[in-house]
Amino acid sequence: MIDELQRTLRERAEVVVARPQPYERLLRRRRVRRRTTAMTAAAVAILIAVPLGFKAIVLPTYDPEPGPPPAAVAPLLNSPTRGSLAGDEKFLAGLRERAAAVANVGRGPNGPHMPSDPDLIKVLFAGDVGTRRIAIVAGLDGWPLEALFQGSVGDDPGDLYNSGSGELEPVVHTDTAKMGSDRSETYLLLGPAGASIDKATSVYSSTGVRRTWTPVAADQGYVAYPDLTWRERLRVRMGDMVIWEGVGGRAPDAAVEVDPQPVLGHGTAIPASYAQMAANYLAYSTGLSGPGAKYRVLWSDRLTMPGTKQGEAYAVVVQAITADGGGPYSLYVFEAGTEDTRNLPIGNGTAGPPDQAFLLLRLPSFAAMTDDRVYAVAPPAAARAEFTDASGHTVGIGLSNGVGWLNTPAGIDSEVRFYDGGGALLATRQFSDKDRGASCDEHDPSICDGPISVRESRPAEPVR
Amino acid sequence: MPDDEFRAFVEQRYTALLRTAYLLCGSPDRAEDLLQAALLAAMPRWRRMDHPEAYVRRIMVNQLANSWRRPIREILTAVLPDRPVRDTAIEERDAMWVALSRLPARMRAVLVLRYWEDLSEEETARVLEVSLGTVKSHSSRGLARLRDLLGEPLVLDAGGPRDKLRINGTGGAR
Repeated sequence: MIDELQRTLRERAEVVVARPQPYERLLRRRRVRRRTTAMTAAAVAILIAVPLGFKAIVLPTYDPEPGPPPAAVAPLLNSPTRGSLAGDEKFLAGLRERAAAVANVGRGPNGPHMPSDPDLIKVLFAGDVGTRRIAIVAGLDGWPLEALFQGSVGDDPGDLYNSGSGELEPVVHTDTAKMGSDRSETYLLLGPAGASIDKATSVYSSTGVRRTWTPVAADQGYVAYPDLTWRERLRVRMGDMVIWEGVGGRAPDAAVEVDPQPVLGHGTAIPASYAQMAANYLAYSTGLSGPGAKYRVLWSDRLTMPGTKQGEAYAVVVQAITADGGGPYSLYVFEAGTEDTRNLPIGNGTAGPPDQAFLLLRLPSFAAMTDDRVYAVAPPAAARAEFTDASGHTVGIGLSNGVGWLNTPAGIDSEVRFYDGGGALLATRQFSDKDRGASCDEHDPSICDGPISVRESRPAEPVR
Repeated sequence: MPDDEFRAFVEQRYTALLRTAYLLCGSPDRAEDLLQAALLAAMPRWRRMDHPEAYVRRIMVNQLANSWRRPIREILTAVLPDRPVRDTAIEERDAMWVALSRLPARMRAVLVLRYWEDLSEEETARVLEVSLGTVKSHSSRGLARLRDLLGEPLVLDAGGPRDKLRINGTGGAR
């Protein structure tokens, strides 16, 4: 029990990252507090001086943005309430009141918000999905907050659990959630009324992912899976325009074959159990499992790692081998002696066979700060890599058997040229620390270029 | 007035204290608010303190115990999103985290100080300004309560709509 508690606390604490300049921000807050105190004192003085009866002085707890919501979310807010309880006015009214009372609790002053007036809240979905009762509500003004409530079939609004909230997006998708003894993997994907929904079959290769899309039955613009125990890649369309694409559900555990010895002598072998875990994770992520699924280690090594108990970690890049000899790859870093693992969204991609693969990988971090190491993993003939940023500044690193690293802080965006020992250019690649977002395909980020920006789409026509 | 020593203290201990704040309150959005309020309370008394870090911890615990769910003032953001990948043990630890969140503030604080800060019972009692017996009873009752809660059906860390304001999520890979 105590070990588990300590692991939980450590794991939770490790992900907390402080913003820079804490002292300056502290002084800024002190100045703001002084102003607020002075203004509050003045307000109280005025109220006391005015001979009016009042029961309490209510100061605002946040400063919502006035005006209409962003245009990108207007189609969803303008859609009728969906779900099996959409016609239950009493339930919907209770839900709006509940959302007005609880959805803003714990939220900051400047983010999306839920109106305190229930009449300014829209129930986007209310209904039973399998054994669950699910409700999704959102504000109708300013910067709308979306809140998910869930419980069991038959629950009243007051019984539902507020299990998450965040900025409303053009499409709502709930992750799976377990509730008590109910282990079902409920998943709801809710687009605007009139939206079409497709599911994909994916074929990986050296150069990316090819998807074949098939429409699914969604005549009201949503799909709901009572128990999504497989991974499903889905997209939501308005006509020909794709407004969301992403993955729902969970794949079963996958065990695949992998040789822990890194190919081409890239780095050193790490314990086989870590290589196997990495291959299993990649199989889980891609769905490339089952008979015939083969994996290899493109690079692995034991590294110093701040933030770990022993100060060391195992890094491994595994690749699934597809029909053309290449395939998707991922970098995983394991804290030595534990199963604690890190993977960055930018640590994934697709590449050719090892003798054609030129990879650039930012190491994930176990500490409060981003790791400053970017690894280059290339064929052994590569002896040097040069990083050139947008201003033309170039930094070169030597490669040993095709492997080397550059120490550089997060946020770089560089063109990287690989040269052989004679100075001949072997390959050019781009490297960016930019995370393209959770809805992107982690092995083919080009799929999600140009995502809709909700905030930039303001304003919309008034929504009711 | 603030001075260089206080500034150095803030800059050196901020992340560690922020982590403690997060474990105490369970909300990344609230953790920085809690810590900054405690540091501002410590600032004018800075020169008279023997153990400023203990004082800041105590202020944070007292704030939580006395004004639970005060509206927050600042939002914590992450740098680059490291993602713990799928780990079958994570779900169990999620259950532990949820169970921890259901403990009273002071009971939770005792467990955090004892098992995260690694303070002794005596040190924990000093930080919280309570008796040694209180620490012992909170600790044993807290662990017992966790065992009970872990045996009950729990609402686990439900995903729901992605929360743009939270820091790096933990949980299963997506």
